[in-house]
Amino acid sequence: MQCDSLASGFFRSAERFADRPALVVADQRLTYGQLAASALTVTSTIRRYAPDPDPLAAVLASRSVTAYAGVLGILASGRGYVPLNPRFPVERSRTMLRLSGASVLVVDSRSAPLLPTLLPGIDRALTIILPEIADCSDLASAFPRHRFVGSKPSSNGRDFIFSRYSDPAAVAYLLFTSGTTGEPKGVPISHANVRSYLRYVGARYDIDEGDRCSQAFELTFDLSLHDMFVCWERGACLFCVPEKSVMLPAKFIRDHELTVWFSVPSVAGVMARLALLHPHTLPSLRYSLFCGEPLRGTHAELWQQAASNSILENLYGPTEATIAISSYRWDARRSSSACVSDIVPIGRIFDGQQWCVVDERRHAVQKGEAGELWLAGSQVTRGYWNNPEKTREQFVQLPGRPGTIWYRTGDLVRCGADGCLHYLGRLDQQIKIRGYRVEIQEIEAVLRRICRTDHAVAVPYLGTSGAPEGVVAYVSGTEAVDHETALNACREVLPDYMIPRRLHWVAEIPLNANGKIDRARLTKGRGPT
Amino acid sequence: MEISAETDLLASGLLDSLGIVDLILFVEQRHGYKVDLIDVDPNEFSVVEGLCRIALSQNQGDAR
Repeated sequence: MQCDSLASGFFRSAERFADRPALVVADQRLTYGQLAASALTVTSTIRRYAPDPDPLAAVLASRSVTAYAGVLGILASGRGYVPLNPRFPVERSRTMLRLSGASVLVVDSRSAPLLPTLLPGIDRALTIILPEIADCSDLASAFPRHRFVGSKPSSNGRDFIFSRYSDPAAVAYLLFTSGTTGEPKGVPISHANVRSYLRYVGARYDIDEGDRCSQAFELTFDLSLHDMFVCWERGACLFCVPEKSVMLPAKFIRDHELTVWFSVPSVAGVMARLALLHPHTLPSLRYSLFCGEPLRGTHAELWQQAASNSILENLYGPTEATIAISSYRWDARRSSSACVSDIVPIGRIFDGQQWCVVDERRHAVQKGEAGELWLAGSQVTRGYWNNPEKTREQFVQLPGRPGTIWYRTGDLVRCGADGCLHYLGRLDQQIKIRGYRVEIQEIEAVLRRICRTDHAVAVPYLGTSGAPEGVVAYVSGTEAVDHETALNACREVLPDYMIPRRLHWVAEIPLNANGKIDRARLTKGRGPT
Repeated sequence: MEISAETDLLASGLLDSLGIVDLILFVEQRHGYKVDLIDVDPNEFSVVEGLCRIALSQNQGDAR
């Protein structure tokens, strides 16, 4: 049996709304017809030069037409896509490329200069697709193992059929999240998983071809899939938010009269701190959506006053459960009192998905008691990419209820009397920095390697709003590396939000009575700088 | 790294967006008036020269 593929909705819109605007990136505006043509150019190039039916192709691009055409073109070729972020350290991208097993790499012109540092160490022969082949002769002679090709339309027109239908279990995209072992871990999401999400939110949000939707998330963040595909399935226009405007988007929203805004809650926090959320200043918005980290009630209230014509929702969901799996609709009259410690509820799990809250013994808790949220259903992936050990750890069965595989989120929640879920924190050391998932142990593993010691501890550095803005780290038992060298080595492997704001060399890491690291004593009296 | 009036504090990686917020709040605190960025291009306030221009022009505007 086959299901609609992830990109099928876009291509249906491209037939229906060929002359309507689909994408605005900086000063480039593309209609649905033009974007589909760019995407199918990538597809025909893949089919011509990489005919082997590999399951995945990677795209190293950001905020460019090639980035979007690359995603759509890869999907139309019948492969799943693996987004790589040109802003991340090259070594991290190389690890992701290696772990994914992708043999095709689509690169935009701005990211092409990264290739000479990315390619050494890649043993597998790659087909690298660039918008302009003219500049590639040096690369081709330096890296004879790989094939460099320019993205060109098929010479005899539409000589292929793009993949409108897919095996439901085939991977639609593979994302990497921070991993506790020091290496990012891959989360494959199938066409059936993402179709299930799009079916639910397609009915929940009333988007049509008159809408103007934001695209603020990096492609390596799964919320970008919501931006792209919810918008394109309905024939609306997607506005790529320039990097500089992402955290302070007021002018961008007003200039482009956006009707849908979707970002991490930190954006509302930053706008609130700068007192930019005056009542009715964002009148064009019909939907204000937040996801990726806890949303503060005070920020939601201010945003709702500024975007007074919009429906404001707080969404929640781990990457493993496809984009988002619960939602809470803000109600100006009642919601402030529904917040716990000024944190907006994460609301109700989407219809059709399964959830339960369990204690340490893996027994369901009574309603109103706190416990770990477990998820199952059509949106939940079957496990990590080529990582059976981690999969066995996180994807489990409930005692006495065989058959269903549950994903243990590690999120501590409580279900209120009204049936709404409240997020209370993490059960492990994972934190969110501007929506990015960060496993503290990954930073510690990197520091141990760089500083050649067994003793490295990272702790979140909390900003004025109480949310983590970064980490500071403590190292002991080594004098082998100096501060700047260690930080520079971190910059080579960790993205900016994971690099310690400050490294402290301490005589020893304090332990509490149970022999665990005493983080409170470690940080006492020490600021981030 | 040398910082001049034309240095783009965001693009150069010297500050992230939260750093820019702290800088703007610092300018407001030092000068005792609010800098309204609602209709200001981020390309302007991420450069020292631009931020000064915005802050000064808004102060004069308020004085009138």
